[in-house]
Amino acid sequence: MDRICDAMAVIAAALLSCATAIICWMVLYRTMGYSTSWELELGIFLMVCSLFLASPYTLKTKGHVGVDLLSAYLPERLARALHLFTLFLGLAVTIFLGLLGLEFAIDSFMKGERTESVWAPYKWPLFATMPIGLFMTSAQYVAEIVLELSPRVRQEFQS
Amino acid sequence: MSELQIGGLILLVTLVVLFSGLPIAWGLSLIAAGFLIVFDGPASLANIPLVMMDELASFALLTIPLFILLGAAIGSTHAGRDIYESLHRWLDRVPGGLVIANILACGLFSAISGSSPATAAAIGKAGVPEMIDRGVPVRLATGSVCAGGTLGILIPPSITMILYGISTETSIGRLFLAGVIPGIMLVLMFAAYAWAVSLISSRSLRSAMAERIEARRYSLAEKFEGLGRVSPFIMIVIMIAYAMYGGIATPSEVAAISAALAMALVVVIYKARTRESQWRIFRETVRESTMILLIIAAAAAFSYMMSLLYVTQSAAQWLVDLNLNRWVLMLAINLFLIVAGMFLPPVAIILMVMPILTPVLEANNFDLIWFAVILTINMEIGLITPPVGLNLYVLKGVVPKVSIKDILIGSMPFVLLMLMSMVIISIFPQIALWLPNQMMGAS
Repeated sequence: MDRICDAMAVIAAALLSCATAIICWMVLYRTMGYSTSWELELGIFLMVCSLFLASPYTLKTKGHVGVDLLSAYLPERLARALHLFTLFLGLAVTIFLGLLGLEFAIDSFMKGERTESVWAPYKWPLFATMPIGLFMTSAQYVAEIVLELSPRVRQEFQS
Repeated sequence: MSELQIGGLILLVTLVVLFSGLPIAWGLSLIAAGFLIVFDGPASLANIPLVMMDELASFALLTIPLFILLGAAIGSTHAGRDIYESLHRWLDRVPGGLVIANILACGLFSAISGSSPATAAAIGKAGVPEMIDRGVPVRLATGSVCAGGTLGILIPPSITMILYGISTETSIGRLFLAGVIPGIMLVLMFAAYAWAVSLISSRSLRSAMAERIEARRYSLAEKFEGLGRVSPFIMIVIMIAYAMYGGIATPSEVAAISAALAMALVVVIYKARTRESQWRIFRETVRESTMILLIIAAAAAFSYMMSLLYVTQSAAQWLVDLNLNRWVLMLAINLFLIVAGMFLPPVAIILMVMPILTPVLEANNFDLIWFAVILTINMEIGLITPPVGLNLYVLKGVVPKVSIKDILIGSMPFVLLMLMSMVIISIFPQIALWLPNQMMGAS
């Protein structure tokens, strides 16, 4: 799981670098007097893809910020229970959003939706990154929950 | 249930869900989905991914990961130390010169990074230990860097301003310009405070500092040495300003070019040639962009829910109908924002609150560009006040030997200075508005 998260983050980083390069190219191309068509749209697409693909990695490295204030004031056992509860809640939300995203992407695929631009690419590959990223995030949540519940971790916690 | 009652319920549920520690992005999505199911039926759920994707697939939002990349690239280098070191060499004979050098370095660094915690980390790492070594009171040392770091979101490029621009449909270029003079004013206020404290504080400190400084005089060559390495980054800032206000490129394009340039500079000047060091920059970038962009997507779903249930409109109408004196209203808004800012990151606050506040501000003849500056300074305060002041913890991470209590108390005088600056900018709105009006014409 760790490796998949890392690999997805590497892909996300690569997509973001591509987006940067494309926008730079676009500005250069435009200053030379040509008109641009697909560059901007692709740049935006790449950014959105990158965002969803990096979501599991962000969870793994505790990058999704939350207000974890309450747990600091609760007794340890309660804080741990609360933490576990938020993990399950996170799992539920990511699965739920992933399902919504999946339905949305399938719908767009069936209709053969395209964007309203000169380039007019299909929309579904972009939409598909949402369920992919979110389902992988929920898989990472499962991993976190297993880690939290495994006896070794618990022992370390109690000692 | 009336719209306002639903609004109250949403506020309550939001507080409970967010305080559970659930990541903000999931929390807001959950609340949006929950209220839609209960009050509008499950059919409207299908719109959530549409709303999220629509919000994300925008040209203006592309600016955010690109500016984060720019900041991460520069933050990964010793640029922070270089800036601070060279400023220090110039200011070594001024009382409190070291502290002032730190504050100025924060201001400069924030102008290239756009991020408050990045600024606090970069300058704090080099600056705070040295200040403490040289006898600067610990609280003054940490406070100046914590507060100086917050300038990151006021001085352009600023991610907070970009979001505000998207949310209120105001010009991002104009917003950036509006932050410049208030930013400089805050730097000067902080510096003046540091200078005054250094003058007044114990004589032993002064003599101790004088002694050390006497031992190290910097030659002109030394003074220019560090500056040489930093100057390319300052060139980036100038280029950003020129391209954006010269009408050559849009903010996103400028962000892409400066991010690419910064990466190139980091590789050439700071020799980050290993895959490891470059990965570190990109890792930071995707991690932070994902966090912010997912909150933006979720906040879009949240606002959609609020608007569909007519809560946004009713709440705004209710605030207008209260017919409060406009400055009483402004005070109330700011109090609310300060409390919210103590717990939530600026991203979430701006996207959740601005749809309600924008019509209220307009109805009361407040300038939206001016309010952006007030709001940003307000959000800055949230970054250095407990319980979730991000900069406090960033600084604690960088200088572990100082207690969080000292860091916190050290920041308090700076919070007062910020509050003071908000009052000053309210009395003289031209501080914020003069530059954008001058450069881009009256709005």
